[in-house]
Amino acid sequence: MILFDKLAYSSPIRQKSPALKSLFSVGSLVVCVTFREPVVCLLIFLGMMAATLRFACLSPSRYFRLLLGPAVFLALSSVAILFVLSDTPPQLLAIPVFSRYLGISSASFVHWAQLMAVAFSSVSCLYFLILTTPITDLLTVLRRLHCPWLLLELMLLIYRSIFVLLDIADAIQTSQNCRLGNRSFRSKLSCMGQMLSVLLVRSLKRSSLLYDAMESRLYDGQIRVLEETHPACTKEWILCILWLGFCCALSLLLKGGFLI
Amino acid sequence: MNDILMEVRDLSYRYPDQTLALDHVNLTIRRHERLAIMGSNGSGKSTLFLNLNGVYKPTEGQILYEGQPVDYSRKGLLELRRKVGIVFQEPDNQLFCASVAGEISFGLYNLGLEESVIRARVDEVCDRLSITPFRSKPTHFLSGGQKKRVSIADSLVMQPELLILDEPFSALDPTHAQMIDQILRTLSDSGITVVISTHEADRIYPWADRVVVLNNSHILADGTPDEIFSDIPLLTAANLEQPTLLQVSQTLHRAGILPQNCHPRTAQQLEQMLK
Repeated sequence: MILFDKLAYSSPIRQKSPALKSLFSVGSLVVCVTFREPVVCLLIFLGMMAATLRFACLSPSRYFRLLLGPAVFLALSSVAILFVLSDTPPQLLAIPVFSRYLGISSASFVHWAQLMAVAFSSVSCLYFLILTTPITDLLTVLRRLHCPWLLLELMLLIYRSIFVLLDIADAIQTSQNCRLGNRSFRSKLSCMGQMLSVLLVRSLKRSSLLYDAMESRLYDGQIRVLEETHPACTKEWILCILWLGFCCALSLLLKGGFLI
Repeated sequence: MNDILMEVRDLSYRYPDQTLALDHVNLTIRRHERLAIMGSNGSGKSTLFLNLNGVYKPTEGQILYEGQPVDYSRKGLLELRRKVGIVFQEPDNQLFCASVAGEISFGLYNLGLEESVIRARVDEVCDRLSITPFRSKPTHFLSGGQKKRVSIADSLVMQPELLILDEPFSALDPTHAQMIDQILRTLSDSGITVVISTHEADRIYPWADRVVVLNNSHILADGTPDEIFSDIPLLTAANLEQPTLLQVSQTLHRAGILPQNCHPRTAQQLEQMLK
């Protein structure tokens, strides 16, 4: 999580309009999910990969390692879709199980491939967004979209607190390690428990201190803060819309069977 | 110079858990002065500050701002907190926003200012405290000294008449401490009354006009830095140290090298006087 955050802040297009980046990424994601067209999904995946590698500070090998996480998850959860149980032997792979067959039929394979294409392209879209846009900028976009302010304030405070609490947790863990904690499985469990309890107490204390600090700056129940705006130029908007339009058109053509 | 800005009369503060943090404290803060409040940990400095800013309401006693008792209504508190800013000891307990500009602008939005005014004021304070170079970084990637400057900017941007800093030098390296020292000087020069709490006698000795010693919820002494720091029994009672420079000049007085009426406040002054 911290890695994603660091990368987002060091991205060369961090200063670009978060609205533009969100439209590019979420728009492509919506195209993937709506049309479920494997060819378009593949195109979007490649496009997003190229954009991410170009505009986020990370090497291709690191990018693929980041994709590995969702890949393992998808592979495990899609087994149930890939394999079917039927009375007649499935076309691609058939394993006799008592009087029936367990295997992969061409229909189930196509379904699986489509699902994987949609899932991976969606992941690549979101990766592009989170690797180039820090959370604070995303909050600006959500605010413009009239997301409820309570939700936005919670996101703002939680996002900041994660880092403060992680620092405290890190310090506690180091001090435990210095005094030979975390040596065996048993001691790891007890150290973890102690750390969590200290963390809870500290975060309660901290929240009351933070409240005092906000109160001293005239907090009136609603958090309003300055947002750094980075307006995008018309050319960039047009390029983004052309890309989305092209993906939509291609999907519609493929759906209608005009190209095959 | 003797114009009284704020006055604390017979102030007592008891926490909801019945701990008595301040016991009949009397204090005056004069306009444009540099006041240092010294005391060991747990002596009640932070509680006193939160009372001055109206975050805590005195259990007993009264606080007057420009001769008027503090009005604890919503509107009165707004007025008080606009004039009295606090910079807390631990920046991590003060900074709640991940973006530097967002953090600094919070108080200004609460004052109900226009966005263009807010933007201009944030830009100005960022320049003044040299925050601009790291302004686009998120607060969690800033160093301790940078966070401290942002937390000072938080209050300074609201253009207070009185700025209170709780332990501004704690946990800072010498470079950053010196930078804060410099900022404190420019603040007083620009007409802001500055109150700081610390136990670093060496840093406070050249800076302060007046020193108040707080110990065990009471005020033990109130005087010029020379009076306070020459009083060894007082310093022992309050767990404080004598500034090194004062020890040196007293030794030089005894040895007859430095005339009795010379009280250097900085190493440079001492050098001048010895010439």
